[in-house]
Amino acid sequence: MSSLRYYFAAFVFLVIAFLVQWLVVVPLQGALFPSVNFSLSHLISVPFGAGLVIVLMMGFKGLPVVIFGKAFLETSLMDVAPMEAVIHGVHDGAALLLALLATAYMLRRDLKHGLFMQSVCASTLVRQAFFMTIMASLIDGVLHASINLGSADATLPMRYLMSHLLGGASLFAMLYLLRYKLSQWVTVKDA
Amino acid sequence: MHKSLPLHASLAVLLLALFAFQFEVLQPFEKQLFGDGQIHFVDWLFLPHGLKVILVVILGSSVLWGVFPVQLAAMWLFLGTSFETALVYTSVATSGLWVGLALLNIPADRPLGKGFAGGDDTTFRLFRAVILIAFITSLITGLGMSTWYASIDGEWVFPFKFLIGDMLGTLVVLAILVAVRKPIFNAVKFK
Repeated sequence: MSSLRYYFAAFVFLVIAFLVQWLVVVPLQGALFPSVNFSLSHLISVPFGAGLVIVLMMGFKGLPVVIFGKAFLETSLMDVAPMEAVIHGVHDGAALLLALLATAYMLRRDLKHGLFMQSVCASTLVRQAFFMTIMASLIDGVLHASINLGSADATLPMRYLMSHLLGGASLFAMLYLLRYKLSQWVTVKDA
Repeated sequence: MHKSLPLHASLAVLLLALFAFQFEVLQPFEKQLFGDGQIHFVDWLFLPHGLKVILVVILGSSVLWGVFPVQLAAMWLFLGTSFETALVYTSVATSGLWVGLALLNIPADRPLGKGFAGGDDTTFRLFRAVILIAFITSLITGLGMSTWYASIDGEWVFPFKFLIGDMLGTLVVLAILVAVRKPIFNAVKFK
């Protein structure tokens, strides 16, 4: 029952991220750069940042929420074709899984519980989140660029990277701002 | 004269020789085996990447001062690319190596440019560090050079091709070094 609650909370978090993307980022990027085509790559990918938070918290158990949640929300909110939305979800899921594997491989962490549950202090968590953010952004950038290669101008791979890095950076900034609060939670958990 | 200068100079010569082997021997062989294709832009087995990564992992970021000019000279002289392409590749690959090293040092709260061989730090194993830095660097190189080749030469190169060539090259060089590690360790008086 409690794990269902976690899944529901993760999905709500993803919905909020999509709403921010749809209601704030999309109009803003259109107003700031009217001549740029953002149909393939947004200026900031907030849902990608949300996916990172979910995987940081839940480990690989959070991946179904990211994959199916993203596919469902892209179809319903952003008018993306269902098959294309599923492919986007799988991209993000694969990138997050690979980044999680790399982080777990480097730090010898258990994949099942997420990094948040295995950190002894907030500063360690923030540093690990930073590492995972960059890894996931790079992998997702390469995945997206490989699949959509040739469908836009030459800057597409770098635009993907930038979009995901900024999305991940917004997560990282949030974690950094919340580090004292996180410290309390982590200390309580350790105690 | 700085005491590590002869070591760095000899490693630079070794790297230059490996680049020469790559572009004068291995690349023509690959072209015969798989046809011309995109092998001028990206190799299926790129040995210098492995050596660069291993040098950075062992000696830290100080080795990049030698790696940069060697890569520039090798690309320009042996591969016969334009100076701009050689400069872009060198900058992207060198910064990728630094980013990879820094990313691995950040979660452990170590100096960003520190290598993993010296001292009594047992948190990281050399093999893990080599694999992860090779992976991060090839992701960065793949994205950067894919963008560059598409914009300058009009050639769409899949970023994943860089990943395959770089990782295979790293594994081959690592396997060779593991096979002959004892004489090398004795030569550099490695602890």
